[in-house]
Amino acid sequence: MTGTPYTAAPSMLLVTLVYLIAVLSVPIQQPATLIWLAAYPVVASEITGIGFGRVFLRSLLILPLIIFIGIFNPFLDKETAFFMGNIPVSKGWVSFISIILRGLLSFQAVILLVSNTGFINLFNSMRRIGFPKVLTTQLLLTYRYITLVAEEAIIMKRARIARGYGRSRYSLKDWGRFVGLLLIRSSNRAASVHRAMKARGFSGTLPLGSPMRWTASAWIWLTAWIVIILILRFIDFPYFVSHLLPLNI
Amino acid sequence: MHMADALVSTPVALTTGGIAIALIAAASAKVKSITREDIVPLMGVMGAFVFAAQMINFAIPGTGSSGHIIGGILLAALLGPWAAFITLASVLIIQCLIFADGGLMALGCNLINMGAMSCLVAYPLVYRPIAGDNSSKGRIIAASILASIFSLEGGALLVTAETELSGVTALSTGAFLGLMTSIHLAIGACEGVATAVILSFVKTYQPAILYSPHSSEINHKKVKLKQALFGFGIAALVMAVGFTWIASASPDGLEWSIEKITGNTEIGEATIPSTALIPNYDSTFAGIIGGLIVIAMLWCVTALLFRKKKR
Amino acid sequence: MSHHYIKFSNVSYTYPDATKALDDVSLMISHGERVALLGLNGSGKSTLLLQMNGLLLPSSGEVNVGDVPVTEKTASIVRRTVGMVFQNPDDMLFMPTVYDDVAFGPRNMQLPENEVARRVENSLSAVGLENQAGKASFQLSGGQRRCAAVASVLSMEPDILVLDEPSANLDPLARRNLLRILSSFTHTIVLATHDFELAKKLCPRSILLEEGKVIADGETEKVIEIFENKIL
Repeated sequence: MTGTPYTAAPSMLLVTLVYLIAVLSVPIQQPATLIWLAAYPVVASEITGIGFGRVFLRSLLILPLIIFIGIFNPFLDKETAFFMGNIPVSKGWVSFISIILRGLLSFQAVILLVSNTGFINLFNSMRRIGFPKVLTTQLLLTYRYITLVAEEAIIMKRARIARGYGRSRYSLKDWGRFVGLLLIRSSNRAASVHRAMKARGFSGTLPLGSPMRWTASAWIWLTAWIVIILILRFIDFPYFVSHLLPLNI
Repeated sequence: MHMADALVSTPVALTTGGIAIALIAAASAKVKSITREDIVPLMGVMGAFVFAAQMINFAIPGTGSSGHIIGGILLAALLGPWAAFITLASVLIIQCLIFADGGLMALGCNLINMGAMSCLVAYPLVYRPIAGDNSSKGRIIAASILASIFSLEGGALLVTAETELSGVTALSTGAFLGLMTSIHLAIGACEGVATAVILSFVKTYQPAILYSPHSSEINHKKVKLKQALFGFGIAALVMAVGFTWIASASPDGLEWSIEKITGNTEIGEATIPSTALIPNYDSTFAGIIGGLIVIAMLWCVTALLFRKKKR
Repeated sequence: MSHHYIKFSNVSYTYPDATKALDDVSLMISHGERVALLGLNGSGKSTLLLQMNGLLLPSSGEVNVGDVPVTEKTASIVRRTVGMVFQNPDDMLFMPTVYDDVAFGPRNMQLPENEVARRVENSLSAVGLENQAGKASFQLSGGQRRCAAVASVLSMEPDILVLDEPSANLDPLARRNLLRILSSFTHTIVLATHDFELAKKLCPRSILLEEGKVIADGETEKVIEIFENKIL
């Protein structure tokens, strides 16, 4: 689950955080800068072998949500920002494009992070860069038991459907019994997990694993990307390009 | 209720992120001091339970639609406020990573709006005083409903504030606030009734798993004062920086604060054209087209380079 | 060490909800013995096992492991001697990787990390999972998970191995594999089971429980015969 050697989980996590800050700090009136920042998800997903195509397709999932957020802007802010040929483009549309790009890029960065490190490495590296142990232990255990509790829920649901004669939704009262029962089952499971922990000498905190080594490639990955991201963010490439491409007629 | 990345600006994301981190640090210190030994597995499995419970929808009477529970008040009623906050935080973090509910930068907002509002505000201020020592089912029901409504309305208020401070949406503050609070009154009522139904079931069949403050065994002396102060110190610092950014009228707070700190903006401008304070729309179109071309080229090159290497 | 016997003297246990699970149980298991606990569901087998490493303490009577009486204070020492494999491996495997699960006990014992590594390697190869150390437990098959659970106890190098229904939910192949692993364990084994074949192959001695009382104790073949006659 560790992915390629470039991407030790902590360095991946730090690069992602820097990238997200860079993306979100781009003013809403400058969608062009955002396009340039796409270099990170595009190149990084190819280097790590995930492929940008896949990352891009998955990131389209949140498109409805961001469109909903931004769709008011073109109607409310009609002041002209620039002309595309002879067609006037309003500030509302510019900020709409910005919102879409921000949403897509930041989600792509998260997809890249998770598919490269895997949850377990991610939570482990959170602990190593200083997140409280209580939280990271909690994340690990919750992640571990989601499938089991969900399985129980599915089994209960199936048993219900088998005898439910086609009723699909629960009335509130039945739902409460169902979820309440699931809750009691979950707490029983917690008790037996605790018993199994205690039998092996557990006394309140999960023991830490062996420390993770920072490899040279992880350092290179970290510093190289931070430098690239900062350059893309703070040097006005769109300005240079607009002087090279004779498009603003 | 989930805020999305696209909705928040950097200052808001950093401020709320800082506050959320401080809250998590404080809550972690509190949870560490809980002497109850089974708190670790209990919190873990309860986090998983909230996940599973969210997959199961209930019918909302009279509307034909259905909903699911968020679970803040429910968790607090079972685990106590601090442990519940950490548990809900883990649920929100995993959701953000798996389903992209919200996003990594909006996570701070979401932890505050949903986690802290329900577990750390609505629970101690509304739920606990009404529910008392869990002795009466009627009280538990009333407390669940009122606390849930309170926490969702409070959350809606915060969402409005954060969105407005981010300056992303062009909707007017009043209209947005009205929309948010009225929707969340209904959502809060549903959440409250659902929480009440579950808690009264638990009260009937296994009352022992309800949290009661008298048996909480929290040893206050054990809480490391230093750690808590450190957390609050960071929170205060981040808030101060964040609010100065937000208060600045300029679209890009970072440059504004750099200007304040260094006394001038000459540094960058002399050599490279900086991302201007007044948006330079002239380069927008060409910049987008040029950017797309460059990115497409980059994609082709890296794809060719690294895919061949794999095979 | 030959003084690692388990001795129950007039042990009774009543659960907080007033269910009487053990009723005046006395028995002695000496070092190196392999004993099967038989009985219907609810006859007290699991409760008896939980008494052996102090996860439950008798309401009256006394449990001794070696020279140590099992009490709240001595429980942590007793748990180093008595390793317990629970019925559901998912309750025992909660760490990020199989390696960390098997290392959980030794790390709780505060052993240095190189000793932890040695023990993890030994116990994983004892159950044939040496190549799965880096996997997460949910990536393993049912049989492998059971083996990982056994390894996570073996790594504590216990003198007495206690297992609750070890062959439940296993396919024939995994069951045979488990039998082989347990046969190679040279110390004391106590296991609760409904699996007569397993009891016959592994344990020369069996104890039959009914409603919290010992009603037969002796050669496995004979005890099973008594049990079968009872059910019929």
